[in-house]
Amino acid sequence: MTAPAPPIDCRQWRLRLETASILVQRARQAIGEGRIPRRNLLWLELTGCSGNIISLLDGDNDDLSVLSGELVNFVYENSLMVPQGQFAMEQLFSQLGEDYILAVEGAVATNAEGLYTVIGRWQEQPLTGLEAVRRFGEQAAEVIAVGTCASSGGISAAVPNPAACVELQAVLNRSVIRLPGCPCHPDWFMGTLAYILLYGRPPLDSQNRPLMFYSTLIHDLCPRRPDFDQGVFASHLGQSACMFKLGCRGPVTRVDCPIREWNMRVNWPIGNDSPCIGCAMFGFPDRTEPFVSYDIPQDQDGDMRRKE
Amino acid sequence: MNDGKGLDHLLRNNLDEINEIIDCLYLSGNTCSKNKLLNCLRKSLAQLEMLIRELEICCGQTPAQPRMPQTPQLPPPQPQMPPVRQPPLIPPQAPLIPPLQPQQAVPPQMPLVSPLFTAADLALYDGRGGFPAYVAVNGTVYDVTNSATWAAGTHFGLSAGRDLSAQFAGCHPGQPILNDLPVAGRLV
Repeated sequence: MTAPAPPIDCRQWRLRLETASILVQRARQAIGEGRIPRRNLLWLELTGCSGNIISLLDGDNDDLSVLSGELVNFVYENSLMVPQGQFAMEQLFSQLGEDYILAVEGAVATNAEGLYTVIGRWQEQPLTGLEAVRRFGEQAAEVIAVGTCASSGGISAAVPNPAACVELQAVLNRSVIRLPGCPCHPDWFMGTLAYILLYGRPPLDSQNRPLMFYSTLIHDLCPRRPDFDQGVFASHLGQSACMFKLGCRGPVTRVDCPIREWNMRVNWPIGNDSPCIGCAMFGFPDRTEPFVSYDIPQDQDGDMRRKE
Repeated sequence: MNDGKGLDHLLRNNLDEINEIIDCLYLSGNTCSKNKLLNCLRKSLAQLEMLIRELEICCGQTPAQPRMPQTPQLPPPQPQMPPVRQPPLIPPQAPLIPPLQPQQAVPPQMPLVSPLFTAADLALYDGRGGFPAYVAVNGTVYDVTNSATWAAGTHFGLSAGRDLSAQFAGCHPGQPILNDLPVAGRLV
């Protein structure tokens, strides 16, 4: 059993790790002091696995009780809310014409006029996910695409894509903040939401991803980068070396998993000797496959590792 | 194929790049930076070797066999970063990278003399079965075996061993990405 990695003693590392918690604490304080209003949050689950709301339940910066109890009025979320059926729909439609922030997870099914995903019934008609995002998305104060499916189609839009799933931005005429990840880390959502509450739209990159979480490649933060630089590569899963030769997508995936880790910072894929599969990368999963390859390529000299 | 004048220009550029890398090495203060620069130097030397072979062909000479890189006389790298996890105990007979069998040392189809690739030749170099990963862009064949963005010989759904000129033009117009890739030959 390998020894645990020593803690990273780097101020910038610590600050990036604490970004979400710092923002959430500031927002809590500002709302508590009445300096900013407590706004409404709607969360739509469309064509997906509900993994993003489950991930949010695992958050600790802060947890769901702070989100729904202090930060926002969590008006609608079909998995967590108490009202059901017609009462849930009335609660959702009560927000039309009001100020609210809309979070959407899952891709948008467009085949058969969206009937592949029906999230409820309204006025005796099925309410498709497509119609819901169009009605609530265009007039929301901010729209946040939570997870890879909403951000870029993701698994829901993978070949053969019978539901003709598309990303959220494809069906809206206004700009959408993207939080790719399969799932989205709870810190990424909480930090982005807290920033919106405090300061408005956060600084975004060219793909509309918050720079505070998506500005650096996993490869540039990976603790196994020295292995890559020195040509020490794992040939099988479970080996504690750089997994580039096994197909690790860290070099092309832009997100801060090495710092933040998962499940309240227990671990992350590389830490578990498993390569990154690029779940936060546009094109996941079709364009990041194969996730693991045992056909290790050689270099020009016919050796599989660089000479020392 | 380049004429002698064009090759001369490429050679000079390559030598300038090598000198710049060596200048940076003198200034580099930590092992990580030094290793990165040494990797760049290795790539430049591979490119230089390819240019020399082309020059020899151009001059009507039989190109020499590719030289194996010299084992550098460097001291073991002294890690200056925080201590990393120790690798798991692996029996000496099972190294991290399994050694090549003698009959696999050089794939029989690998061109030892000519750096010219047909499409069929290039298709062999898809990064699988012990072959390096090569891609062709605009007639030049590049070695992406050790390129960080080409893990397992694939890149955003594209596979090595193919002419990807159209895909490159559609995705990376005007970007100097190819300058950093070692050249393996020419596509004919």
